[in-house]
Amino acid sequence: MPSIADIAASKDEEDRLVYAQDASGLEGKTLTVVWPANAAEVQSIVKNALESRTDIVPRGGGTDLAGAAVPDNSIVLDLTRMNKIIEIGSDYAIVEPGIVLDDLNRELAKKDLFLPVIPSSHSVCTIGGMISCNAAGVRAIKYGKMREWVSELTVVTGNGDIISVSGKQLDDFCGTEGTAGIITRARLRLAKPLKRYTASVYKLGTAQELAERTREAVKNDNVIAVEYMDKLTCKLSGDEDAYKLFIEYESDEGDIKDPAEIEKRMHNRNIIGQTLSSKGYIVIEDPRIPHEKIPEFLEYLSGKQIPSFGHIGIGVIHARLKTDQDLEGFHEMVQSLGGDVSGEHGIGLTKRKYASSDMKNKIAGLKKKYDPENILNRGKIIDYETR
Amino acid sequence: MKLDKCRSCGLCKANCPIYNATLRETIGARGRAILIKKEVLTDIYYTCSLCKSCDTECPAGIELSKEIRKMRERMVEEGKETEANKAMIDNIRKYGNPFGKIEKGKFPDKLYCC
Repeated sequence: MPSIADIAASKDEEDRLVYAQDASGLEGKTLTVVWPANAAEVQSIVKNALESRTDIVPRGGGTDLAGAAVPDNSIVLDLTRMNKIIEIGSDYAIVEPGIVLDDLNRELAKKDLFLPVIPSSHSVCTIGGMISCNAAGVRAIKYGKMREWVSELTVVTGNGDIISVSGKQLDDFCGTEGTAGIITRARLRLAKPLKRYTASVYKLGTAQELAERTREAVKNDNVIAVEYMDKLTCKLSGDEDAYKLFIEYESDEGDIKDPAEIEKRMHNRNIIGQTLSSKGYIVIEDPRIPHEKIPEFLEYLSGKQIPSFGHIGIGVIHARLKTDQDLEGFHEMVQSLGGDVSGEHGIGLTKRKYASSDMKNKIAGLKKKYDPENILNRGKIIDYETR
Repeated sequence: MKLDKCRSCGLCKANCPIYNATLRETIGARGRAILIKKEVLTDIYYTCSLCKSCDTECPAGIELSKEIRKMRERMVEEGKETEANKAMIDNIRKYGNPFGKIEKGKFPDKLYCC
């Protein structure tokens, strides 16, 4: 096993400050930043941390919106230097966790393949992070979430063991935000790139009309993305006062035929979150709402002046609040409608209070199994005893 | 646009050549933005190539490269610039180039200045 002294690390003040944050807006405290080069080094770091009972926070691109990569007197384990593509097969790839999604897809394109889960942070997010938060994306209606594209993982557990998992056991590490193990290798399923796609944009007057058009769209097998912006989001983005529905088709049905124009509109969609953040809407929520309840939820948001947008085709509503808006009331509304607290960003720190008991029980069980000393991403999803 | 609009989303580092060469967040675009917001005076601002890729990528329209230049100016004003930077400025003033005295027909000893 590699000596801990030989692993790249820093305790510089600048590194500790920068690695104390992710994209959630939260800030913690970093003890040390480490940059392992391989699974053996990750294992060495974990065993060393076990001896000192120090918390480890695994980190990829640092784009988490719920604080899953924010340390709390922790070692931050930056996996971005473990970014190799180990193998590309006819319909799969084996990669290290630190590879950036766009970098992987650029290589896959040479073999007429791609990983179709595309979150808006695709230019900087890593595969390990996408697996850990079970990322989705604008085409989730066709391609689902990251879990569906993972067939095997190599993981360093909180016991310091290196294990390989597949099948049902993948659920222990996909979407559990680094609380059970640190992913060091992934075998991914791949798709063939879309050969043709078109899109249409619809302007709608009410939430009811928006929901009805969405219901029609999801019944169409050619539809691959159904995205919306509410009236307030449109207004804040300098657009007209209407609900906007963006539907992408894997056929010629759409009005917009030029792929470059579609990509431009998709890019504009991808940066809405940052636009809202820059206008003070910095509390990031992503509940999943049952389809039949979406009009009621959108009316509620409109009444509270909470802008929203997102993957309405799968019921994921990206709502943005200001810090002085009623977050408790927001979550009460989500619960009363039978919604889930998070559709794709994960629970992390920001939504821990609102996580379901099922999710909390699952993490508690995984801790007993894989991380009994609770050194991996302590305090994420479930509470912890302060050390 | 000022850095108070920055939410540390990280998109600025997508094509940051320094980040991509080092994979060390601190000396990439987002790392610099965080350090500027915290008003940390550090040599790290001098590792930026000022290529403006971060300006292009920022969804909030922040011109990070301008903020980095301002921090360099502040470091000079407060006497905290790097020794290499001081030597470079001295050489430009004395010899009209950043490398120092160069004999006619010869190359400088070092083809870098900071």
